[in-house]
Amino acid sequence: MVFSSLLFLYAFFPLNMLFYRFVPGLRAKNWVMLIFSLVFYAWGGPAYVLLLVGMTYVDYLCALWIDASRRKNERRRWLWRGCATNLGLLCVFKYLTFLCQNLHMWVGFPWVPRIALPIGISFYTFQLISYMVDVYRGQVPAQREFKVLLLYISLFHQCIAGPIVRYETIEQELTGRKFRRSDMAGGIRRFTIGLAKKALFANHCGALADAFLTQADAAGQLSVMLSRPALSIWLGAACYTLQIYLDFSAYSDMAIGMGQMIGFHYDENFNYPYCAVSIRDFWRRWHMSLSSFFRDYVYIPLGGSRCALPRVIWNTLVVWALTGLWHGASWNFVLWGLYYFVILMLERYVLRGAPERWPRWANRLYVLLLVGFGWLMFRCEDLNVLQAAARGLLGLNGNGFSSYETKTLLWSNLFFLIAACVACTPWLMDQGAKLERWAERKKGAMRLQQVIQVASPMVLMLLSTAALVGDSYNPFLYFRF
Amino acid sequence: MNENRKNKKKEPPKFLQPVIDQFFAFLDWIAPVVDWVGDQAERYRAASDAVPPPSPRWVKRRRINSRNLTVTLFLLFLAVMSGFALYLPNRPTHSELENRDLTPFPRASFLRVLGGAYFDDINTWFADTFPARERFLGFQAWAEEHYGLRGQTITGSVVKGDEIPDENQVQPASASGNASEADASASSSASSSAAASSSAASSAAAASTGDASAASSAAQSSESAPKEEPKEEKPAPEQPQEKLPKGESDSGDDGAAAETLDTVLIIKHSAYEYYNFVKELADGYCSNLNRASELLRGKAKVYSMVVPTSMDVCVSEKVRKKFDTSDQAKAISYLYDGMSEDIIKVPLIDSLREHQALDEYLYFRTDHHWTALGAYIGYQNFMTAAGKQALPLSHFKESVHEGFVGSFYRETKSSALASKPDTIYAYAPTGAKKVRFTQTNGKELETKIIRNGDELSASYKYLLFVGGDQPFACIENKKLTDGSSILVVKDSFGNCFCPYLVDSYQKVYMIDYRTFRKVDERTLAQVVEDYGIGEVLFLNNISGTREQKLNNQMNSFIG
Repeated sequence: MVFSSLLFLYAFFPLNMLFYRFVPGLRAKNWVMLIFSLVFYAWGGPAYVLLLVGMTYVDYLCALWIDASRRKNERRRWLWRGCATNLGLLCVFKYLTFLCQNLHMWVGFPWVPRIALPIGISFYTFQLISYMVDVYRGQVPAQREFKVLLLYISLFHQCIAGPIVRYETIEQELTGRKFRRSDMAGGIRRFTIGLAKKALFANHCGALADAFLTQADAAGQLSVMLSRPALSIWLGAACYTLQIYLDFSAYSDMAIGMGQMIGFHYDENFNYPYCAVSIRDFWRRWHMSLSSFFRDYVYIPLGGSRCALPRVIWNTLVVWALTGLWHGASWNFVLWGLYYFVILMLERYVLRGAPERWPRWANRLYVLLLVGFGWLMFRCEDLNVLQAAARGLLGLNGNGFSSYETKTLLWSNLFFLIAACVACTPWLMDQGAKLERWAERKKGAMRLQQVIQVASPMVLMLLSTAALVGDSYNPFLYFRF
Repeated sequence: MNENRKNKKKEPPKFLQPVIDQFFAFLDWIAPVVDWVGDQAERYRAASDAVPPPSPRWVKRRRINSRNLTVTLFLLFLAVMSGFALYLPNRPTHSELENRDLTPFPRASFLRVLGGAYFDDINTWFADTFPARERFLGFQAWAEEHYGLRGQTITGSVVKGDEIPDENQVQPASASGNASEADASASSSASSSAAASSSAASSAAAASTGDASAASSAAQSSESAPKEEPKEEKPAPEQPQEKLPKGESDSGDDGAAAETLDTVLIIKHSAYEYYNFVKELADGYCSNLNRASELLRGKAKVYSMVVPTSMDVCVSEKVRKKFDTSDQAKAISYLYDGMSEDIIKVPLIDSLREHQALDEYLYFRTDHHWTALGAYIGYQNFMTAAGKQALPLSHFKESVHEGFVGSFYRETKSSALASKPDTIYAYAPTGAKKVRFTQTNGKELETKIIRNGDELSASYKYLLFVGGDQPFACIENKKLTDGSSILVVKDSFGNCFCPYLVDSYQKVYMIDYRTFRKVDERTLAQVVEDYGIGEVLFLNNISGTREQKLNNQMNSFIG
């Protein structure tokens, strides 16, 4: 199930809230959440619930053993066993097909399996690893109750498409959270804003990206890409850039909002990444839960920046190769990771942080151009298509600058695109804050603010419903990971 | 000396002095304004940096009120909406707007449940039969029409066609009578041969693209296609074509039949399909027909009629020039050039354009077919080419069927198309009333040549001609006894054309080459021999000449 499906919005979620509200006591409420979470997960294929529960159970035991062991070696051994199980299963389900395909291509390996990716495996595997490592480091005690750990892993808010919530963050709240009306109101606002971002903006941006570039997964995109005029590819890349942020941050917004409604406080996952002033800054603002995971569980254990220069470069390379590979088992994702590795290294050792000191317009432009091209790499799984797109951006495919079709699409979506760009900036939130300050001095402004606050969640929900009813283009992009 | 130079440097040239004085005077003059702006900025910065003073009590109270109101009202709203959504009798089962039956509640099976497909189906059912969906859809369509400036939209992705060579290089082997002419054309276009061969490589790639995007749109349209069971006495409506067996000849590709539309442009209330010329496939179409004419030499006269689509007839040339669509008149003449001398080519596009200039209703606006009136012009031109007298339109019996919203609508769901449905004017021959045909499942049935159309859903009303797209059909005119017979090898554009022939031929056979081989083992030559057919007309719309799968099917039928 996805958050933006009508079944979720008008059946699953209300029922969940209803039971949650009227069941007495936190233990019972946790049972409600657990059962609903498992149903939610089972919706994408009941067989994989066993995998989820099994992996959690193995790690539950490993963490207990780590906790119980006194000797460091033993603790480490249990940690390795747990991590090996997790990563092994992740590799089998996510990378085995890719590996065999490549072996098949290069050395004629005879067998290529077809394995369906269990939903959210990349996310919950990372949560499990972070949990075990934190127990190993003594930052958190091991969870004694299996069902609480299972609730943490399977909680439907974040189980299948992030954010990667650390066990540390919600340890207290799993067993002792409080209900606050202010949280509820904030959560509702956050949830509906996320929904609107997805349903009103991201989906249409995706359709536009398909029209400007090519259908994302169609065979034979190559010749279509070769026939696109330059402007079309630029606009397509821009639409995809908008889509991927709006889509993914919408999911995080909805997850954070739903958590907040029942008293969980997850960490933020995005901080207006397209307003970044350098690529380094961009990665501090984009998918923060993933980059901080790699920082804390890969980069720093490898030695971080406190080593000799070659070693630092190696550490960074490992992190970025893994980041790329985490996003998908395909060469373009690896390339995408390495692309950022190169840029970050250049920024650090050649430009020495210069972009951050450039004028505002220059560093914004710099970030958007590089990130936009990065998303193009992200999108084109076929490297030939990517090459065609890159040449097309420079107008080297001989299709001229623009065409009637490109212009028609652009003009007939002009207002929409402007609105989508604004939705990627903090502008609207700033206006809200301004109104709030104003409202403290003027009663009329207070009334206006109240009306907006009360009505906007319902209006957004209705608008999103209208957009979702006839929409065939819906899955969240990050579901693939 | 040094000092002197310095001083000199500091002093501006004399002639600039007044300008500089003026400038400073100006600065003095605007100083208050600059100061004021600076003050404002400073105040604004101070205000935004300052820690806000503790809110007065009335503000706090109001904040709490509005927070409580937000929570209460939203939960109430959610409860009402969900109750509304979950109350099953509320759910629609048929969409008037989209002219289709909505997804039914799925049936469970062990594997589908275990694999999760069952739950996907439930999702689809829930979303597809959402209460008041028509209103939501209508609202959304209205909103999207205001996303930008122009009232024109494009659905699907536009694929550029190959360049159309001025003269066709592929000269058929059978054109022995005209060797000198062929030589002349070969020498004159020697310069263009390099270009032609270089574009051949890219055309192969383009071909596969067309197929792929067609396949994806086929998948879409098959989802929305109503799944009507064949009823007694009534022919089954056109089934989605992608169920056909994989291409019988060499390349088993995943292309779809011509009925699927790649890219659609909507201008106001009319839609047009893009056409991209693909040289390799056009050559393939010609060589298929050439082989047919060779096989039939001495047995039957062979005609070819390539019908343009509405894009090149209804859109004025000035406007069309701006689109990435290939020139169909040029493409047709390229095709005709590539056919052997034995094939009699029916010129068509010019007369269609002439009639279009008189504002005649030649093509549907919401469907990619020509109207029966457009087909009548085709009939006139065919009869002229065949050296016969065409009957006047008044000879045929007209019937009117309103409320047709065809394939363009199915593809785009555009409210602009839905709001202005087409009307079908159908013309029935006088010599026969019934058509006998074989369905794709092999069943033989009989129906009226022009059905009433009421039993067909609004989007499939084009099937009222000659029983729809049937693999094999035959109309016998019992009033004629001259033994004349004609075979029309056609796609769906032939459906509204064939009834005109009935009053001029004793027997009119129709073969849909895309499906015929599924129900019949015979090839073209055998069919011609079996029925003693004297004339064979290949009637295809131009979109049928740029798809590998269709070429393969034609190839397999010709044998």
